Amino acid sequence: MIKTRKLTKVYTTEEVETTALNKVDFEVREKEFVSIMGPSGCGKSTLLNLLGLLDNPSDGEYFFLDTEVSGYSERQRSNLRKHNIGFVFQSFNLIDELTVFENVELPLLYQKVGARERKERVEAALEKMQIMHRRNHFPQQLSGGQQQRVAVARAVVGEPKIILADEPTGNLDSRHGEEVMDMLSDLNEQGTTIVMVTHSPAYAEYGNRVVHLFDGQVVTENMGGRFHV
Amino acid sequence: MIKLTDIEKYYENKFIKTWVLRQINLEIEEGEFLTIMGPSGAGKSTLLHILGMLDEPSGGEYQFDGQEVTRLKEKDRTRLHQHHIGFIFQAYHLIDELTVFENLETPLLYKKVRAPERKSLVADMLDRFNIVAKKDLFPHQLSGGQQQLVAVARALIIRPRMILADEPTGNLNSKQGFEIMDLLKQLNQEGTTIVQVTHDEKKAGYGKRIIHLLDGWMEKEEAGK
Amino acid sequence: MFQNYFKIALRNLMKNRVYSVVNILSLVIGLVCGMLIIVYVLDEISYDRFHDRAGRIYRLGRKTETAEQVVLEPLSCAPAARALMTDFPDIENAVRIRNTGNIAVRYGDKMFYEKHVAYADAPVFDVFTFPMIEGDPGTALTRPYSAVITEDMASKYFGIENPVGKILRFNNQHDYMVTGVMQNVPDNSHFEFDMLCSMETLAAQKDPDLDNWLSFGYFTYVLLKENAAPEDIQKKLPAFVRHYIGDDFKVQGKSIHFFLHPLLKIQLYSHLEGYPPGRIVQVCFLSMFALCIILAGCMNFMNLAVARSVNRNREVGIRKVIGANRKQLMVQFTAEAVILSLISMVVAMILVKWFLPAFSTVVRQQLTLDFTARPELLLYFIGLSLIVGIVSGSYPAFYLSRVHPADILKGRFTAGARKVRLRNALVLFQFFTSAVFIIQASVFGIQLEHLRDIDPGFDKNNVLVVPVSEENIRQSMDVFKKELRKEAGVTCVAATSTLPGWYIPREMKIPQGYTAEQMQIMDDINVDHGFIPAMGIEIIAGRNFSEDITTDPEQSVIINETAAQKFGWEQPVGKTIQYSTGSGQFATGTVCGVVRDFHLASLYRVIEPLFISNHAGRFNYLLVRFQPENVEETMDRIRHRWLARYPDHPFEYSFLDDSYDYYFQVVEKVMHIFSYFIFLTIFIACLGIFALAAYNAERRVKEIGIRKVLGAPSLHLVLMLNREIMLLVCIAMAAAVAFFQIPFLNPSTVMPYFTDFKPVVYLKSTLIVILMALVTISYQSIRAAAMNPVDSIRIE
Repeated sequence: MIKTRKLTKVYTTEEVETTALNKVDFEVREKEFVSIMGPSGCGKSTLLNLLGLLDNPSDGEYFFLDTEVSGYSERQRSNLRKHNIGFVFQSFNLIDELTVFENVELPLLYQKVGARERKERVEAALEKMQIMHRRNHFPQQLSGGQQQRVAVARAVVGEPKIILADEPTGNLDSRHGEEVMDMLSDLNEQGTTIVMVTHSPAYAEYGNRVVHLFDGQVVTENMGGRFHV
Repeated sequence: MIKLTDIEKYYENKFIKTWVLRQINLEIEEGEFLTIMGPSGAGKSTLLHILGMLDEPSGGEYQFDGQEVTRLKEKDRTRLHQHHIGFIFQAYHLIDELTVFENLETPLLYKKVRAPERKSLVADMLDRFNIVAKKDLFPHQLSGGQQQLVAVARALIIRPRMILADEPTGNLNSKQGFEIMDLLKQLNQEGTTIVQVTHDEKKAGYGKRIIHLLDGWMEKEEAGK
Repeated sequence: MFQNYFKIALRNLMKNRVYSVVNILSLVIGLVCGMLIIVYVLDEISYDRFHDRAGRIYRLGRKTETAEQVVLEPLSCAPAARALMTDFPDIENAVRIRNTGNIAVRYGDKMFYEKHVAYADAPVFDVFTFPMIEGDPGTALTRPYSAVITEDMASKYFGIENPVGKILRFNNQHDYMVTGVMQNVPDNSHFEFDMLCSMETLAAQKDPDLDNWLSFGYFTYVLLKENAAPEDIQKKLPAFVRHYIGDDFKVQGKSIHFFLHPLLKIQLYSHLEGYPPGRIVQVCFLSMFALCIILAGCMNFMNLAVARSVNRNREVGIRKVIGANRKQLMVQFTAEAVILSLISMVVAMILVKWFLPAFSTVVRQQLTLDFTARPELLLYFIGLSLIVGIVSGSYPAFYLSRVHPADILKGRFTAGARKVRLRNALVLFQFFTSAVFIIQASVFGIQLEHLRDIDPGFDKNNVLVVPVSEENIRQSMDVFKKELRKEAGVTCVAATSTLPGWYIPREMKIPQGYTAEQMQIMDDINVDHGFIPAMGIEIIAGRNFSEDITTDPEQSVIINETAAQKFGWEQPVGKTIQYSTGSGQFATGTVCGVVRDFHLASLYRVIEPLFISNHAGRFNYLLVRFQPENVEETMDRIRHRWLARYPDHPFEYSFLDDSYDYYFQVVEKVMHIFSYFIFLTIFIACLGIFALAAYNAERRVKEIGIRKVLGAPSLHLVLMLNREIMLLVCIAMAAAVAFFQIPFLNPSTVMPYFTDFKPVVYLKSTLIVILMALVTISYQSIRAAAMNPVDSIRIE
């Protein structure tokens, strides 16, 4: 479903050039759950940004659903993103001034879904994430784990083809972290493709493949998963 | 030198109380090299900030050199940490609008050191870290490793008794990371107390003592390698 | 330490160029206004200060009380000066000055009308400081028929020759010897003469007014001894008046008092009838206005600085970590503001130099930016800039230094809701004032148009005005008029004592049915029989003065509608009015006609009861109505006629519509400048919104990023960001409209002839304001909406 070939991203600031990603070849098939690991500064976030069409690569190719998208304009990327990709962030990134319901509703608004259908889909997503009982509360009134659940609900409400998660458990304590990982796992079992970036080897194993990045390059790849000892 | 008794920290946000640190009891001797570890959100940075007097605990006592810090006025606290504590951050936190020289100079300005003395102290530091050639460059013109070097230099220039380092190698590649750790080790051997926060097992090993935090609690303590 | 701050301040400026420019602009506008006002006020205050003894000089004034009103005039009678000197030991010296009318002055073949000639007592050079270039101040004006002229006059008549000892011929009648040349009277003096002639001349001519305690045509200035108190003299003045004047004025229903007015206060504080009013009102008004604009500029700076502070938070956090305490941080940010302010000062000075001429016209003062003459000006400017800098920087400094380092390092920001409300209030206020000004200006504009169309009640076009000041011309006026009438192109010829559109004398009269204690004040002019028809004024009852009726000049009087209404006369013709003949006597005039009201004075004055007399020989102006075709030829013929009859008198003339419109033009100019001010307030308000929009964009960067990631279209983001601001603007507009509904504040209820505000005015103004707001906001919002979401979400 996703394929990158020699994907490269270089950041230039005035005098210094930093190569964040160095000719990365990366592939994700449908229904996979891939974890990307690596130390800080190794380029995992950059990779995720590029995969999520939030940024354009400096070099190389990116095939999203068999279409080469590395040269897309902002508007094209926005469109593609809107309909195909769901995001979950480490710091949740909910909008504080909106209620839980309104937060989850947002992607549908931008996809111009009608009011009645919106309501149905939002409520379904909230139910799935077991946060329906808090739908009129504001993010500040929820715990970290609950906020992340809302974020996941928001990510899936648009029925995306792939979910990109950046350290989804990073701001959560161990108990909530496990809850979120379980949720993601369930989603994956139900057929959603997931690419996740993480620090923690324990959480990485929820996926069925682990990719290690180091200094901007893929170092090893192994079949992780709960089958691993 | 430092004694923390039942230190607690929480954030109150209109409706909910989020606990970050719970009943931390810790003693740090002068000249130690302490590592604080734990997963994200465990409260490591918060503990470091409290140690550095940048943040106030919600409960408990913090004694520095036998003096109760939490009850001091902001002015006095600033003076304390101005003279005794140096900080190093993962993101370097240099001032972008100042050159290397000026960045190094700034802590001395706040301590009201006179110009000739300032210049010589900065010159010494540039020498010691071998960055004399870079003294008129701006942070964004340096590589990550060099910036961290400057940050360390800045922390050292006031000759602090203690250095607090928050993931100092987090944004560096492996080689640069180890260089910085070696430097810290050397400083510790010369007598500076070092408290660092890190994820990385290998870096943690530089310290003589490692404490683990989990969900705000101190889980265990062990010796370093 | 300052070096460090200076460097950071400059580098920050360069980094955020757009915002720096906006900030500098806000401050520049405020500083320019402030500087202009400083120059102006310094000038006003400096009036007459150059006299060495200025502090001891006082002008004698006359206060006239009648049943109806109290009138203050700077006038005194001739004999008062000497009497004061003998009766009051505290008075060291006294000088009388008497202005003359136009005088035709001639030397050789150079002949001009001079308007600024005055008679003065010899001690004038002792009392006042008028340095003489040639001649001896002690003796220059001791003899009759002596004159001291200014440098400009000297070069005008004598070129490079030394004028002393030469003869100037006045009105072809008298020869005056030039006994001295004095420096030109400086601009900042209420004196305006070009030539001073000796008062002794009038004595030699046996002028009866010199001994007349009842004739008030002189200015008297007294010099008090050192340490003498004016109050002491003031207390004794009533007795003085009673002694010399007694009850002579009581006959006219007037009660006379003298008072002393300090020389140094004349320019600012004199509120005297018929003379340019004291400027203090203008000074206060302009100062307040400048203050408002300066404050607005400072507020903008504050808003913008706080809005941008999000960017500086990290730096503040770091500085606190490495040892800065709060005070040091406050000093740093205040210093940045001061540096910015000083930069703005330089730009402002350039602009001030550019605007000064236009500004001078508005305040009717000659203003120059001369640092050599007034070095303290530079000090004031620097002082102003420093204050502006400190004031502007204070709030941002306070706000920024409160950052909690731990919060910043964790990425946690505290956006206080309270501060947002303050910022909103400021912007609201700025827009409110802009809206008020726009509405006011539109109304003034309409008003001006309206006034332009008001019928003054007479035809002011195509009328030539020729001043006639000399006796011999006046004597032969009738003959000359007859000759003129015969000229082709001349329609009518008339003569009048007072020019329509200029200062109208007012006198007390006793109309029939009123007693001596119930005197009525009326406008008073004297015209010939040709005036009313020449001006096209309509007679609605009775008749005009007639050449054929010989009793008219002595006995007949014409009044206007307002007079008839005021006195309650349904049949005005035949009623009598008693008027003063100047020496305590009264004569009686009979009303022979009533004219329709016309605007004798400018259009801004309500029409007062008018008394028109027909006395022979007291005309100051000749009015010639000419046909609009072939004007040049007609003018030539008239000039020819004039020079044929009066070869020794230059032919000077003006047009009635020009002089009548003079005030109108001044008002127009004021309007013009006012519109600049309006533009300024709007501009500042827009800058204010710019700041608010900037703040909004910064504060919601993360939210914008999230929404973009989720697929929001840019337009939606733009609308969302600015909803708040547009709401504020609408509220401000509504408030402005409401403002003008309060009768007290609505000029149309206060000023006469003011048109009421029509809804279309409000509509247009609203549209303008909203448009400006939109344009300002769009820059910010478009930029925000086009941002790359990665930059704002920071996946690290």
